[in-house]
Order: sequence, then C-alpha cells, then structure tokens
Amino acid sequence: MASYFDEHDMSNGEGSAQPRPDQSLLLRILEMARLLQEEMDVEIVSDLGFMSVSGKAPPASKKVVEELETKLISPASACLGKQCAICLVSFVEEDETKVLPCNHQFHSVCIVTWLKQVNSCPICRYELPTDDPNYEEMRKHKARAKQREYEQETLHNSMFG
Amino acid sequence: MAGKRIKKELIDFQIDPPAGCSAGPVGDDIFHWQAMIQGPPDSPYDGGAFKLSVHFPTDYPFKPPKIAFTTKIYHPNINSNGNICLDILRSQWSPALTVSKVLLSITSLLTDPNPDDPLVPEIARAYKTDRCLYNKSAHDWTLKYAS
Repeated sequence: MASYFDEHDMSNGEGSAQPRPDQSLLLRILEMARLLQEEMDVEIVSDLGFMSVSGKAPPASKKVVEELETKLISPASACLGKQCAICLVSFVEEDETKVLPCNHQFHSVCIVTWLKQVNSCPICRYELPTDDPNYEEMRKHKARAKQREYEQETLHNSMFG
Repeated sequence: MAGKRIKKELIDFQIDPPAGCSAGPVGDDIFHWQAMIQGPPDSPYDGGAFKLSVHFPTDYPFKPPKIAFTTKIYHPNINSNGNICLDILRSQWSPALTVSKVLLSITSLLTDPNPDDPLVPEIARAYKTDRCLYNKSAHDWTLKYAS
C-alpha cells in the first residue's frame, strides 16, 4: 500500500528540508493567515478588555437619566411604608422620586447618584442605555448571540424535540 | 449619607439577623464592623465559626464594602489573605445590597464553591478532581483554625 506521503505526492520531510516553491508559497500564506488571526484575537480581547478587567458597566446615558419620570410621594403612597432600596429610608410625603422603566422607584438623589456610576437598576439590574459606544456594541453583540442560540435551540427542538 | 445608611443597616441586622451570621461595629467606628459566619451544615466547614472584617467606604452604598475573612479557610474562592472572589463584592455590586445579603451570599459560596473562577487554583483543582481530598482538607482546616 502506498504511504500517505506517496498518495499525496509529497515527501515526508525527512531528507528534504527545502519545501518545493509552490509549497513554500502556501506555507507563507498559512503563516500570514495565522498572524492575522492572532492579531484579530488580540484586538477582540483588548476591545472587551474594559469589561473583563474592571467588569463594571458604564454610567447610564445622561439624556435618559434626565428624562426619567419624576414622581412626588403622595399622602396615600407614603402610608404604604415602602422604602428606598438605596438609602433604606421610608418614603414620606412630598419626597421626590424617580421611577425606572422596570417600575422600581427610588429617591431622585439616590438613584441619580447611582446611575452616574452604573447603568442598571439596583433591584433587578434592568439596563438603561449608556453613552458608551463600545459597551452598546457589546450589548448588541450579546443580544444577537442570545437570539442565535434561541433560534438554534428552536430549530433543534423542531427536528428532535 | 453613608453613616446614616450604615446605622440603618445595623438596626435592621439586629432586628432580623440572617441565619448563622452575626455582625456589628468594632468599637465606636461605624465604618468598621466585624462579622461571623457559621460553617453551613451541608458543607465541610460545618462546626466552624469564621470571622470576617467589614470596611465601608465613605461613598457607601454606591461602592461595595471591603469584606475579608480573618479566619483561615480552605476554599477555592478565598485566598490566604482572606480575600473573597465574589462578583457582588466587585463588578456586580448594587446599592440595594446590604451586609446581611452579602453574608448570606458568602455562606452559600461556602456550600457551593465556584471552581471556574478560582482565587486559589490548587484548591479549585482539588475540588474538581478529588472531592474527597477537598472535603478532608476543608474539614481539617475548619477544625484547626475555626473551632
């Protein structure tokens, strides 16, 4: 039986250290491809670096925070004895509060201070938009990956489920 | 705000302390607490009493408290300085968290270590590949340092 090397019209490397011209070109292309790949990996890693090193999400978008719904505590809701989850003080009549899209309510001063640091609701981690283009891009990327995973799961279940 | 909120937390903690935990200020400094966690019954830390130090930053609760074990413990996510690798103490901190909730999280970390994000790789390896050795070492350390 012909050896693997004979079948593919190649030598096994022993005794022929010099690759043939077409082979050396191929090797060079492969090497370039590998370098390119490595470079891209590094770029991707450094792009995500701000997340993995500090791991902390950026502040909420200034505009979004300004546009949050402001509510004064009414006498009726003051009676409910609910408290602000940030300062742990019960809401009293006339307190100025803000309500996030997830319906969680905090003293305006408390929540604005937090949203200047991080974009999520302290209670449920609902994420508000940010002014950080890199972070927004990563969020979209994550959402797309999740959607793809969901679609694959659905497809798989439709075939085997 | 920090001082007021910490005092409020202390009152809430004393009214309703989490199971197996205690905590309170060291001396007059409200920003420095000592806490104690009992080893969970379903873990090799059972029977141990582990002390922790809690330092609140001046901008608490917008920054997490610094919490570290002062009792030696054999655990994949706690190193020899007592530093704890727990996301809610770093990037996943939220101002709605309290010392009480964090101590409960640390208690569940004792029951369920997270070997995929280890602070002590050797212990994580033992936990993953030789659970018997891990259980024995964790139990031995508990008897030696936390009893």
